[in-house]
Amino acid sequence: MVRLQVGLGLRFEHLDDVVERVEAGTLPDDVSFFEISPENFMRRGGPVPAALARIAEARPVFAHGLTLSLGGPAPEAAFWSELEALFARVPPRFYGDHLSFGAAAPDVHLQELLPLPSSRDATRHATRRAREAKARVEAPFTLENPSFYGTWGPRELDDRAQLVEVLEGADVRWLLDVNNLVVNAKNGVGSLGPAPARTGEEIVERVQAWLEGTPLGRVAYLHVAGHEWWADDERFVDTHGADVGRETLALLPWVLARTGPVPILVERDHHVPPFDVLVEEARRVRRAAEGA
Amino acid sequence: MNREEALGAFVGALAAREAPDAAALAALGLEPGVAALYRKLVRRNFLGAVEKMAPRFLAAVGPALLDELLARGGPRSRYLRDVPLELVRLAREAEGLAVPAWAADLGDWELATFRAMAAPDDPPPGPPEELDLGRGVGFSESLRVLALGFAVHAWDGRGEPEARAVHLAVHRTPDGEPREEELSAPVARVVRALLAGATLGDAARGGAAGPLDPAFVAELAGALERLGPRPRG
Repeated sequence: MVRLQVGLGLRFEHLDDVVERVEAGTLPDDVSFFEISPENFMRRGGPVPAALARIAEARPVFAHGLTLSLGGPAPEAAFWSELEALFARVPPRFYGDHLSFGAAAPDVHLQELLPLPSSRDATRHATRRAREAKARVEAPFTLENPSFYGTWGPRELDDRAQLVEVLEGADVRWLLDVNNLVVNAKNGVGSLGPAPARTGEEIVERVQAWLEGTPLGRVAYLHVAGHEWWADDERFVDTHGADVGRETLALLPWVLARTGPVPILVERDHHVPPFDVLVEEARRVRRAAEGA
Repeated sequence: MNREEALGAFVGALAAREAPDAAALAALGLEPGVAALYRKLVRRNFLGAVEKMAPRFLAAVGPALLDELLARGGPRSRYLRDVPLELVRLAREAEGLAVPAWAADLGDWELATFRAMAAPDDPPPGPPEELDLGRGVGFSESLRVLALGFAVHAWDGRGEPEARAVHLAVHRTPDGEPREEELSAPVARVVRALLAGATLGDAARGGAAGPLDPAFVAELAGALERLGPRPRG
């Protein structure tokens, strides 16, 4: 039986701790790889990139960007040269970003994953941009399905059709974020709506139905994370600030049965616990994925 | 509305100081609650970065300055770590903002160590060489000399920081540690001139603004030694 690879997002809070474990040879085998946001390591020197280079000697690194803004304007030339410089030092297994936008103009960056308008033009544009990004880097390019809180634009196609069109049109790999689908189902938005899925069973069934007929053969790896209910906004928000939810865990065996044993990345960006707690979370995810 | 206009209008709806009117949102097909949530998420990300990197500055200016930055078009850099810098720049340069006069100094100082630690790596040092009055002097890429109007680095947070001219050198040592040192005005003038490419002799004479007396030369030599200079051709 193939041992599943389960990785963790590399947090600044844990950098020193992880380097110490690498130096001491005590980094747990349960952490098969690390994922980084390349923007956090680009255009900088000093101890942070040095620590990353040391960690990359011990574990594969996956790169998952935040600011490529595939729905918006192309990045400045310096972005690509900085990215190439980083990848020359730390070659990633994959590089990718989200099907979203965060910049409406080349020099305005909102640092948020905003939903694309539901238009054919936006879809064609994102496809072109993903194709260009794929051609820029040596590592396979991955596109993540985003969570979102509402649709907008002319409703010429839904988010599922948009995702599939960009994946196929740009011929890129899919970073399947299972938690994002669960959040969208619980909020009842887009093609996982129109009404919120209430029970765990309903959420799982709705996500499974959504995934049927999608190009699961393109999946490079999975994202799992936790989300939280924001009462003021009456929505579940994809905060990555909690443990991985039970619906997401429940979906893993079903997904892996269709994708094959792809790696799984545990994301945690808020309320970040000590490293050992995240390692235990990785073990929990592995057990769930193996159907234990 | 074409794609670029639609994205611009969406961003405009999130960035506006006042909640966008229903007609503008309806034209985008966007629910008001969704626009409000995205605005909250954008502000949360920015505030998180500023809280982490410049907490006392943020406490001094308040989150309203972030709304001002958003209303003026939002951050220009794609790097989240640059948002605090842009906010400090806004506090320093924008007119008519209700922020304390010392707030930008406080922000610059709080960010200086982070900037030094993230500065580009220096090339490996060559063999030791004597400094030469006829040549320039190079420093670590990380060295910055802050010119502040308030002694924010010596402020305990009570009352207001002392108003006086402060020249603060901040850099990363070869061991990778941050270091901060207050310089006298003449020494700061010399270091700034050296950073601008002057020879050591020209910079020292300009800094002293007169004959080079032994006390000044000793002070300068000590400061340069601590700043870790290297000869430059």
